[in-house]
Amino acid sequence: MTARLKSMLEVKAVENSIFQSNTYIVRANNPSECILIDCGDVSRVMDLLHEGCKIPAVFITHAHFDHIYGLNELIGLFPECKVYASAYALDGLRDTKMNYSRYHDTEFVFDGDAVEAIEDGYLVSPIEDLTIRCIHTPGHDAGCMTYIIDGYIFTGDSYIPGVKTVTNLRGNKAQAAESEETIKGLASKFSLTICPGHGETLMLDN
Amino acid sequence: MTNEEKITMLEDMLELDNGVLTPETVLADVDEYDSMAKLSLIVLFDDELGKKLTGEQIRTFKTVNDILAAMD
Repeated sequence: MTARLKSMLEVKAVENSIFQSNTYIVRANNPSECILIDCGDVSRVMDLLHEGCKIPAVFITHAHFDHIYGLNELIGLFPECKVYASAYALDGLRDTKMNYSRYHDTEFVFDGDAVEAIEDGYLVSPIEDLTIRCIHTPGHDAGCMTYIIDGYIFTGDSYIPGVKTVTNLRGNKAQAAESEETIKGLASKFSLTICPGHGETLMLDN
Repeated sequence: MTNEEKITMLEDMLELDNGVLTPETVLADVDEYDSMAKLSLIVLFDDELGKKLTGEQIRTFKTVNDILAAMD
């Protein structure tokens, strides 16, 4: 899937092999740099990058294994890449119990050092012409973040259209409902394209 | 922990109303008992009981009673 807006934002979705989670490649006007939202199969990302394109930043929606397992490979290819996530999610990157990888075949612990904790309301501009608005959307997981970039909203597993939000992995049902309403309200009000952590992108009817 | 307490724990995990499950409930008849719920069950065993539950064990579970027995 590729889409372009007036600001020349380009968003490409990559479906990962583990639990069919989504990684999104986002770039603005400069074709030589882009960012990722979540990180699974890095080889699939590399197949879609322009030659010589750098990845200076990756934004994690939440630190569940299926959304982070490619990070060490990514940092190996782009040592300057910084990982942005909530403080809770940053803890999860290094804890196999928190990130659930201990229940999978391969345990995952993040090896990198370049991380930055983000909070609700933060605006981050990791590359030229691209600003990311960070929104804390707990419920599926305490550290869930949703990101708005121009006309897109990247919801992770806090809101997957047509799918009941999973809260029985140490989540919180009431918070999840509140976060879902927040996301749907923003998407509707600003006509945002919803880019969920699994499944297809969607634009809500107003 | 009593069987009633264990069943309540399972109902909470599956987001079911209390009283829905009995020891005789067949797991295949519970729509909420899906692959994500099975992962949740592994986590519940780890978090609440300090026990390691394997996929092989989960495959042998036919009724709620089978899970209760594994919780002991």
